Amino acid sequence: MMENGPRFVRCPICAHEFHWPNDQMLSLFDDENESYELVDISNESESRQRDLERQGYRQCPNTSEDTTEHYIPASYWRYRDPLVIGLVGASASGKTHLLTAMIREAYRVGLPHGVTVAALDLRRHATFRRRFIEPFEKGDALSATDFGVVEAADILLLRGPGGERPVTFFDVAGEDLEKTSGRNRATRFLVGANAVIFVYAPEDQFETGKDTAASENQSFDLAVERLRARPGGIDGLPAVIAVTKSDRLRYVPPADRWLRRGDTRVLDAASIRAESRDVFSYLHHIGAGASLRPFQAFPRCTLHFVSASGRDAVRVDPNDKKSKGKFPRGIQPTRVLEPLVAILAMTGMVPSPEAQKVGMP
Amino acid sequence: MTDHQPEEILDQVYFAWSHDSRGLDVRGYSFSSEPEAKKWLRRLEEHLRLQSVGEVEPPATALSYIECDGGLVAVLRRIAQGTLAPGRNDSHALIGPAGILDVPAALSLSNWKGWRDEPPATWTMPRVGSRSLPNTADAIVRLRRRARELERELGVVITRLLDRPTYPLSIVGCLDEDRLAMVWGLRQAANDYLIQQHGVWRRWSFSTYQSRHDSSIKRLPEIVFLPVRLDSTGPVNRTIVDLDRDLADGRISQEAGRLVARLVHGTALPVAEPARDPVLVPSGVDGPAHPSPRQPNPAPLEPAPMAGDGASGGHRVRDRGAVRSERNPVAGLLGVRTVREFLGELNRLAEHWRWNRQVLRAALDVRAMDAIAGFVEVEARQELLSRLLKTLYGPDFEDLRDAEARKHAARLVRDTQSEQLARMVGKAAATGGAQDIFAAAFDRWSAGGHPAGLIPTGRMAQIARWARRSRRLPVAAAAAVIALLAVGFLLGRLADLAAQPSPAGSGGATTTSPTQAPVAGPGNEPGSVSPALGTATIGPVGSSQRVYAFTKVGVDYYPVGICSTQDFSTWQCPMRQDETGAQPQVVAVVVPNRQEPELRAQAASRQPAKKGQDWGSEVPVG
Repeated sequence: MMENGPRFVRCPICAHEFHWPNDQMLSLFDDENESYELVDISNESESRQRDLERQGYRQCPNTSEDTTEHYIPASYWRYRDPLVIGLVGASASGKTHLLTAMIREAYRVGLPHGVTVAALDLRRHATFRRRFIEPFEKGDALSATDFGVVEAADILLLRGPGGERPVTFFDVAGEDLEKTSGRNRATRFLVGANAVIFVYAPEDQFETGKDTAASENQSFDLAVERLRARPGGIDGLPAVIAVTKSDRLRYVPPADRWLRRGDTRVLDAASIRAESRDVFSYLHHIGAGASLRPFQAFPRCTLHFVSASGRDAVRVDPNDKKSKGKFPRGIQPTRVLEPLVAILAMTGMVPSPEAQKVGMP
Repeated sequence: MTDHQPEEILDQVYFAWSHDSRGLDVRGYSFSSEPEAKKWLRRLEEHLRLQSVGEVEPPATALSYIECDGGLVAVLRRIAQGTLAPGRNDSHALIGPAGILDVPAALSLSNWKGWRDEPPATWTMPRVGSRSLPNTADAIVRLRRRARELERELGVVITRLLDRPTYPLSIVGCLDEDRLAMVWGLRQAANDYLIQQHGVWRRWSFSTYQSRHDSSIKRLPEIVFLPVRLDSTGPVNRTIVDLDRDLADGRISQEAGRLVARLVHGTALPVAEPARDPVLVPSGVDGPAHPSPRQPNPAPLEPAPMAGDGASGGHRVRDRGAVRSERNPVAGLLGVRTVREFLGELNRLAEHWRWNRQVLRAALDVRAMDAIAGFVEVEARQELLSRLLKTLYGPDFEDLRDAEARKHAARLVRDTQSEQLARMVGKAAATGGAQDIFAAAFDRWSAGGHPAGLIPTGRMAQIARWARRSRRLPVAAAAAVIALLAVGFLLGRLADLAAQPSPAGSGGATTTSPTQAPVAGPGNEPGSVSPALGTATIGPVGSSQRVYAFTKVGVDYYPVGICSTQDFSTWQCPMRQDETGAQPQVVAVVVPNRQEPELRAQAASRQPAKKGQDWGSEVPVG
């Protein structure tokens, strides 16, 4: 935490940089009217000011005015080196399920190496929990992400040996990630992202009627090219490829081996490298070479087999097209923390010699 | 949508999940090319998801009215089926100009038989003729009936609406089956009042189900219905009304209550003062004919919140300050009385706003355009035809003294396709005593009407039959001409739109069909009728009585609408004026309350009412 550090902040939502104002004004969210109220806290005691700051927000100056009014946690400025993680992948590839399972597991069992997780944006996390985690725990298939979402899905605070660090997660619709429009606000997060989780799901041939993988992965390609175009390119930008819905591969080597191993509690660079090798081989084998593009582009990249729910959702009533999808025997997330742990290792959140080896060629 | 509008062709697109594109995509369309259909996917994509909210499942279907650029709108029907994941559902959109797919038309589309629940087997979908859509008037009868049962709910919502008239609404706690009626009721009860009192011109676009309503959503309709209070991560610049919790109380609620009572019970309008500068405030034809009232205690209006489109969003509203300080750029156009003025005003606007035509588009929404179209279709046509006849027969039809000219005119009356032209020549003959034209007029109408074959019905048919039975030709011909003139006012053209302080809406500023009677139409509800008012002096009226205006034709009473009063002595009654200038006999009669629904129904079905034993004496409306 910084007490008197620089007050130059990059908004995690619109990616504009601005000087954090040095005043005692902040916005509090009014649940009744779903609006923000600007309040002056200068007359409050210091402890009260801190408490209000922890719950309050600052409106982003939104300098270019090319996105809608948005707010970031009032205490965001206090933490160094915020992490912005974007999930990239086609529609229905399992991004939302993965993120939900990942955050749920991070809260439930914690992260390796003493890294703990808490909400930085208290209201946003409460919303995320109600909208995603709770239905997921009840065995509901999660809704598709809305089009045009510009807000972050969740903003957490990680505490560990590497210090305290805000982590902002972005989860936008796969259709938005495949748009080529320069006015696409939903993918603005790519400008400020400092880690990316590329999500690929092996397709169900019975569902799609296709027996070959797509020759291009448009969401991956567009994201990689936009990240390359940033000043400094993608040097130092870690990436992860997560093969979601790997439960479909539970009898398919080499995925079966990793899925049976379950979650790992110790950071082991060699193990991550071995898994990355197997995932690479698998994707190459099934003709999904287009989805390996991030591995070729990013200097530090790991690959993982993950399963957010442990099984596919099925209709409650198979004959009713209007019935929703459920996980009738509950959820069983497997290895969903591996991508996050790899990113934390590659971004310095876990300061150890072992972490420095993760994702290295 | 009304029957007398020309047929318009509408397009349709079907959206569903596609394994090919791995996302929601176009699965059928009527456009000439796929890229055109894809553009609509981009425009509507933020409105396609039908998501559950927590434990609350989405409805089986949801209807949305979404305004897009270029005066086009989409009526979108989402279907809770598709892939396993909620939100990857199918949707079917009907797309067309806002002048055709207006809000009443969209409300009636809930019963359209053309909605699909499955993607078309081929990608081709037929274009849709506007006349194949459900009759708006029928739907309005249903909506009105339903809205009358929502008196409390309407009062609660209008109270909040009047509190922040520029803000869009999010309504929680409204039953699925009441939502369309709620939209209709809100629009019907508050639209004119908001224009007149607040200078706020709302769009009344709607969505019967939303799982998001934050400001980031482009083109989010003005009225959305939420299943529960939502957890929004972004700011929501909307008025949120919870029908299960909010109460209609306070000063504003009294105003809201009067508006609702006017809709539900047809009671008198709130007391209003004449407008200081009524022409500056556009309003629709549905609006009350009272002079525009002004706000007794003007208060600063809140800035209109963004309507979900970032920097470019916002509502088409005028705050009161703007109304008073800026002249409406199209006020002149809306006030023209002649073709010359109209063309001159058009030229002026074209020149003055050539670099800022968006200002004109902002000022000339569908209602204003309908008013102008009404002028072109009714008054300009009348003027042009008058000029044509003047050219043909001289000033005051002086040439009809000549046998050759009368022969020409008689042929014209007998055979022309134009009812209006025939009527104008017939009127001249009536004043000039030209027997051969009388005969032609008699031939025309005794043969059953104009050459297109439309047969007069109701009172007109009785008069024609009576005339045919008569062997006294001149009397019969005169009767036919009188009947014609009666038709003129029975057609119910709205009086002198251009002289009104506000533009007229789609309900009345158009040409009318020969079979229409002088009654309230869809846009002309008894609670909000009448482009012109007359007054009648009637003594005290009991609480179980109403004063009703009728157009009297012979022994028949055609209901026009309810009269209102501020002092229970002088009553203001809706009345109509024939476009030829003839003034029909309008009378005010005290009738029992219980008869009001029947009168309303007779007005809707264009039938005369039978004078009841318990009616009061008729008083002329002047």
